[in-house]
Amino acid sequence: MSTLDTRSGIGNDVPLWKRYVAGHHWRSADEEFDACTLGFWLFLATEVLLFAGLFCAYAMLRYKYPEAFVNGSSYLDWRWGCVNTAVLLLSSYTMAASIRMFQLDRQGTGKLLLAITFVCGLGFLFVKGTFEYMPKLSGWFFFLDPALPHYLEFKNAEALGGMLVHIDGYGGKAPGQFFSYAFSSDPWEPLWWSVYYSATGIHALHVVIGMSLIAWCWVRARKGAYGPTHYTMVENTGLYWHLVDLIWIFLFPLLYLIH
Amino acid sequence: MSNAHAAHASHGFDELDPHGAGKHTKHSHHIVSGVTLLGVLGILLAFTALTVGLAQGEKWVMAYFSIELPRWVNVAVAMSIATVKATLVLMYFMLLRYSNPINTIVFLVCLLAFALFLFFTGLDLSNRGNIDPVKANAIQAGGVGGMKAGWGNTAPVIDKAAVVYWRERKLNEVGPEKYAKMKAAFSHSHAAHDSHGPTGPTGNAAAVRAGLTPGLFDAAAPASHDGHDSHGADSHAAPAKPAATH
Repeated sequence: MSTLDTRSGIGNDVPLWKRYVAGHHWRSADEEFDACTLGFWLFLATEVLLFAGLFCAYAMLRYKYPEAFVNGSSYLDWRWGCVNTAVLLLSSYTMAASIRMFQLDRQGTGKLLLAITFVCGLGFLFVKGTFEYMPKLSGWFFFLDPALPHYLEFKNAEALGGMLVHIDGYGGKAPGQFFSYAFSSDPWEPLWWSVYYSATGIHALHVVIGMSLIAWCWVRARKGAYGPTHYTMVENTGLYWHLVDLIWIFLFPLLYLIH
Repeated sequence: MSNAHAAHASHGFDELDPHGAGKHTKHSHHIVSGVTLLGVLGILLAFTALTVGLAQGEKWVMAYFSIELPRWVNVAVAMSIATVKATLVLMYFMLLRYSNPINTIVFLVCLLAFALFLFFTGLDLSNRGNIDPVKANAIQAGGVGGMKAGWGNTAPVIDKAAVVYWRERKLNEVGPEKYAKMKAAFSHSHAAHDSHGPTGPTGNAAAVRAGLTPGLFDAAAPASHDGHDSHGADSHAAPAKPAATH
C-alpha cells in the first residue's frame, strides 16, 4: 500500500511521513486512509467471529454443565485476572495516546508510549504464563508465586536452584486428552479446562501478534515513518490491540468471576 | 461544490466527486483530547473494580443471608458491565465515534452474526433431548473414555471418565488419607479461601442438572446409565461433597 519515493534522494532530510505519497489509484491520502481503516474493520469482524466460536462453546457448555464451570473457575485467582485486566486497559490507553502523539508530531512521546504498550503486553503474558498456566498444567510453581506457601507440604521436587518448585498432584489441569488432575469435584471439569485454555490461549496468541505489530511500528517510528498526515499503520495496529483488550474485557468476568 | 460542511463531508451529492473524497481536508482526522483518553481509562478501571466488587458482593450476600441468587444474576451483572466497558473502548479508543460510520456498521453486522450463531446453537442444544431422548439417556457423566492416558504407544487407554481414572490412579498411589488431605488443599485453591468457606465451591448457584447426568461422586449415584436425576436441589445445598467418598 505504502509507496515511499526515496529513489531520487532529494529531500532525504525530510521525515519519512512527510515524503509519503498515497497510492496512485487513490484520489487523496485521506481516501486511502479511510479505505485501509475500513479494510481493517472487516478483518476485525472476522477476528470477532473467530472468538464468537469460543464464546459460543463457553455459553453452551456452561449452560449444560454449570457446576463444572463453577468448580473449574474456583481454581483461578481473580486477583491475577484483575491485574491482567488493568494491565491491558492501561496498554490500550497508552496505544491510543501514542496515536495521538503521532498525530501531533510528538515523535519521542509517541515512541515511548508504543514501548510502554509493548512492555504491558509482556507483563500480561508473564503473569498468564508464570502464575496461571505453568502451575495448573504442570504443577511447577515459580518461587515468587504467592499461592505456593499453601501447598509446600506436598512439594516433591525443585529445579533451577529452587526457582521452580513442583507440587505433587497440583498439575494436570490440562485441556482434553492431556487432563490428568486427580482431585476434580465434577466429572465434566475437563470441558471447562478445554474452554479455558482455548479462549485464553487464542487470546494470548493475539497478544503476541499485537506485540509484534507494535514492535514493528516502533522500529518504523524510529525512522520517522509516522506523523500528522500519515499514521495508518499505527492506527490499525492500535485497532488490533484494542480488539485484544475488548476480548479480554469479556473473558475476564466469564472466566474469573463466576460462582 | 459546497464546502460549508467540508469537515463532515457527508451533505449533498457532488457528481464530480461521488464518494466525497475531495471534501476531506488535509487534517480531517479527529484527534481525541488527552483528557478524554485519560478519563476513559479511569472509567474503565473503575468499572473493572465494580465488576469484581459486585461478584464478591453477590457471594457475600448469599453467605450472609443464606440465600441463593439465581444464576443469571451473576452473568447479567458481569456482562452488562463488560458491555459498557467494551462500548467505551470502541467509541473512544477505537475511534468509532469519530470515524466513518461504515466502520460501525461493519462491526454491528458482525455482532448480529454472532447473535444468530449463539441463538441457533442454543436452540439446537436446548431441544436435542426432546428430539432424541433415547440417545440423550445414553450419556454418561464425564464421558466413556477412549483416550490415552498420556503420551506414547504404551500409555493405557482409559475406559471410563477421565476424572475417575485419574482420581483412582492417585488414590492407589498415595492412599485415601493423603488423597483427602491433598484434595482439601487443592480444591479451594488460591483466592477461594475467602469466598467459598472451608469446603470449597459447591456449585450451589448453578442450575440443577436436567435429567441426563447423575452426580458422578454422589454416594448414592455412581456413574451409570440409569438416566434419572438422582441429584436434586437438596444435595446441591449440602455443604460439600466429602473430600473422599469412595
